[in-house]
Amino acid sequence: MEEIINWIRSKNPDLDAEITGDTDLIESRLIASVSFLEFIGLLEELTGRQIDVTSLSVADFRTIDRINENFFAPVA
Amino acid sequence: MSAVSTIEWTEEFARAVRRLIDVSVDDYYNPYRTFEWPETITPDGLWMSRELLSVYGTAAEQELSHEQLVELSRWESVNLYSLIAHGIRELLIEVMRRIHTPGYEIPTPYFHHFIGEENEHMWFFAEFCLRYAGRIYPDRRMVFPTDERAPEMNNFIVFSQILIFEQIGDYFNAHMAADAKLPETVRAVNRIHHRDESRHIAFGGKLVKALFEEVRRTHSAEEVEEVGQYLRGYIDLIIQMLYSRDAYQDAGIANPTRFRAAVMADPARAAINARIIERTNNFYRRIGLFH
Ligand SMILES: [Fe+2]
Ligand SMILES: [Fe+2]
Repeated sequence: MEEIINWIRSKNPDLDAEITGDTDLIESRLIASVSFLEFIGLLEELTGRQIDVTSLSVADFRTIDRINENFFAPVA
Repeated sequence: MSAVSTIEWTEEFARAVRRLIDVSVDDYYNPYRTFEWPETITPDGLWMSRELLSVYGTAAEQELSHEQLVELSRWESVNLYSLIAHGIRELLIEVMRRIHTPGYEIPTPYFHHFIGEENEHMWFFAEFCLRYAGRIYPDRRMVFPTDERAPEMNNFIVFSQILIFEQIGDYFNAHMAADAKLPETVRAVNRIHHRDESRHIAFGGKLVKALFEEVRRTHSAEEVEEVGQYLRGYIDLIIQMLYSRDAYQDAGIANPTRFRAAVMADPARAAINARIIERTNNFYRRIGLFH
């Protein structure tokens, strides 16, 4: 998760608060439409899996914990 | 809808609108009869100019065989036309929201032409993809909520996004229309789009300039700077969409995700990306948003 938090920080250089597993990334505007594609690119690189964006919604990216569950949990 | 009744459209803007309407009427064509749509695309070569391929100039390009480049050119053209089709849907929604609403009396007559023409563009680009490739690519973008902005700021952003998208698309269309090595069907869709877009871009430039003056009158330098940053992010997003994992995958490239990252990071691409957005940067420098 280190990489993801670093990426979010790089996109929000003025952010002082800590990003924890349950920080609301959408409410706090830490993920934005214009950087979303880059974020998906990062997730695909980290997981080595392809992400079908059309089957997802904004809520799937709400927190680090959520992202972890959705994209990094072992495939059943 | 956001009121813009404070906008002062200059006489010059009103004149330009009238002139563009005249040209739209004179140039009007029936798109459903304009294209030949042959059974297959011939000759059997590239569907997109070599110099426009996302791998052009990169180390990764050297590893691809001629057959792979041809395959990639097909899927990258599908990606380009899919981007255009999705972009048109978004811009139509925004223009529809504003046509015949208070404040937009002057540009509204032109909006009718714009909406009609864009619907037709969306049709022929999608038609090309569906006929010759069997699919259009899905839109990979997602809209995240943002802080509320003032209406005049929103207007400036929305019409800027339309203009930026049209200018970048036109870079490709103009080049492909002029590339005698491409199949005639490919050149025709690009040529016809380029002709209509020249009007849209002329109109968009004047509209965005008027909206920007409004923004400058009503907002602080910091807020203007912030919107400039936002639009730079939007330009960058369009550049990223030109590097399509779907296209790499359909072209049969192994590990398309890693391939995409490598191509985007290749030092040869910076200058090429800069050329693609040069017209847009020059425009925003001219009106005083970019420095
Ligand atoms: Fe168009
Ligand atoms: Fe257009």
